[in-house]
Amino acid sequence: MSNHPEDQEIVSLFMEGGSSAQRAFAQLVEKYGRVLYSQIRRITRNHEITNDVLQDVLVKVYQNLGEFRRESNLYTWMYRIARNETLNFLEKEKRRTGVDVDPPVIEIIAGHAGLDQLNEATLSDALQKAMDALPEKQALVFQLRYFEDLKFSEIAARLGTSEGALKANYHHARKKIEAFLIRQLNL
Amino acid sequence: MAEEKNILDHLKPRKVNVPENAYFRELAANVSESESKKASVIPLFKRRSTWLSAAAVAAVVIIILPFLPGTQPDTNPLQTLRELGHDDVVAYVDENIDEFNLDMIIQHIPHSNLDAETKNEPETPDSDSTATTTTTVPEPNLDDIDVDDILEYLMKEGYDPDERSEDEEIFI
Repeated sequence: MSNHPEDQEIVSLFMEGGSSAQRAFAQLVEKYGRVLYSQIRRITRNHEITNDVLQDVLVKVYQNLGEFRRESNLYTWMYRIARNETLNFLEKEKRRTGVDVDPPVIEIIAGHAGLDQLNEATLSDALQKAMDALPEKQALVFQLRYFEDLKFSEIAARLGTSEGALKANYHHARKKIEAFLIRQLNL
Repeated sequence: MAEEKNILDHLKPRKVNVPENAYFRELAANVSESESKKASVIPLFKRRSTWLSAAAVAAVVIIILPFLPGTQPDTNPLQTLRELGHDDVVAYVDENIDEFNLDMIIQHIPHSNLDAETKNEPETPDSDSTATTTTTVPEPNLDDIDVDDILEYLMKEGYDPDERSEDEEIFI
């Protein structure tokens, strides 16, 4: 996955330091902040926790952007940081109770005999585990297509890869998730 | 089996409530500000220059260490002593004799050597070893002395031959 030209400009501007770095960072957050927020909140299901995790993610991005390898994809790199930070945070905060959480990330559409027997929370947790088990690129493409509802052309532009490759990744991701859910939930 | 293939089609993702753009602008500004402040005050141990300097000093020390006096591998004291000649040792002891503990030295000298040394020494007035030195003086042999010399010596000493006792006669 090659880097987007606009992302390269942001990194170059950031490398200039001072007010240029602050301007570049603001552009970066404006461009990717929403999708990173959604990615994190879908797992934490709470705004306050998402806010804390996103802040940690952005601090790491700021601290390491100067050493970012330009042949990598900027969003993929940030997605990886966000994924790791979220899982680490949840691991540390496992015992935290009394937090208001969002409704499950998915709702069940009636008509599937096996799914109708399950509650949405159990299904959402299983879906999250299935995504965690995916290879990074497949998980990324699945999230952008399934949850963010982006078109393949938009994802291709964002990740700097071909639509064909994305469709293949999405297809494999779906298959693996379905197999995981069937096995995990005895569907 | 047909159902298995369509599980995800029976699920609908819920939309996540994403805050307004102002939230992200503020978040970016806060992170930028705090991180740029941190960057201006880098702890000493985190500075690259500190570690480079330390590495340079370590490298210099490692290079120079073998050449410093007293750090060479052939400075084993036993090895050094082996290389000294007998004359060197004697000269050193001679020069620094006052610094030696004579009692300790004597303890380490074999008695046979000590006896041989003392027999060859000329008798000195302040010598403590009178017992040893007297044995080296040959006993006088009266046969070699003339009788007249003896009598003359006795006369000088106030001896009257006519007043000699029976014991003394026996002696003569």
